[in-house]
Amino acid sequence: MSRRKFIKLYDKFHEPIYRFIYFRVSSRETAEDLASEVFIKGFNYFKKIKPQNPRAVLYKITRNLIIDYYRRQRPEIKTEEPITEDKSYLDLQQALSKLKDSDRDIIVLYHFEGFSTAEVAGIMDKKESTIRAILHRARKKMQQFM
Amino acid sequence: MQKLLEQYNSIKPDKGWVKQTRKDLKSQIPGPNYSLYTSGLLVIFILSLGLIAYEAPPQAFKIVEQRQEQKQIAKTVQQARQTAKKIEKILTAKIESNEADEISPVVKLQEDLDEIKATGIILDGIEQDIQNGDYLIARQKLDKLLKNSNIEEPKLKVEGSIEIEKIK
Repeated sequence: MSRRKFIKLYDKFHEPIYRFIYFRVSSRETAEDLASEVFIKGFNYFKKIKPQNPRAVLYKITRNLIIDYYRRQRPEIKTEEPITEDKSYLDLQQALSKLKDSDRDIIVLYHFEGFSTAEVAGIMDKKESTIRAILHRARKKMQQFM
Repeated sequence: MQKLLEQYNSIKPDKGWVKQTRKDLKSQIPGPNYSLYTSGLLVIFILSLGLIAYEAPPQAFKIVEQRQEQKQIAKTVQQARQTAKKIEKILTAKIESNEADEISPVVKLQEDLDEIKATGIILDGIEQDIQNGDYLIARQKLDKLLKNSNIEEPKLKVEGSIEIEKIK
């Protein structure tokens, strides 16, 4: 992939990628660092392989980086209710806090980022039927906040 | 879900970070491989030059012919000028020394001197034509001058000879 094309990709997806990370790490600084890393890794990946769905690949890289981030953190930092810096989306935070991390990602990817169940399955490395089942279960839990 | 979606979309990254990251990516990601494009362009350019050179011979010979003509005229003008100066000196000296007591020879000398001066003016004109690139006009003027003066044009020695066909 050429530099020009990749920069266009960055211009298009830096905001949603940042958002996705922010809701998982609840820190702007950490979200910025991880988002930058996503695009660097993304370019290195696209140099070798021409992706059919670059957007989905970027989100997969994002998820993997978030998992690695939490593996490096001390266990006590991770709490049930994430600590946010901004209270303007409290409902959203409270709704998502009822879910497991992986379920939260699926809800965000499907309902907020607009991926199809097939694409979500590819990003999450799960079967499409599993994704559909999780979506159904997660929506039920979030019902009171919608 | 719409309400939650709106809240989700309200999260935006810092503009400074967006700009800086874009700049960092541009500096870290290598640019296009120009060497391939440059080589291709260079090959096309060289081929074009070759084609132009192949097509150009008549024009090139015309330029060479014009240059030879220019040299020929310049040499003739120079020699004519030198001759005119010599004659001018001699005549001026004779008039000043009053060697000729009779009126008619002095008048004749003056007339000849005037003619030499006029020739000098014509030679100036021819030199100007050469500088302006009007070789044809310069040639015509010189031929006329030489004919009127009964002077033979000196032969210009050109190293090597080029057989040039007349341009149709």
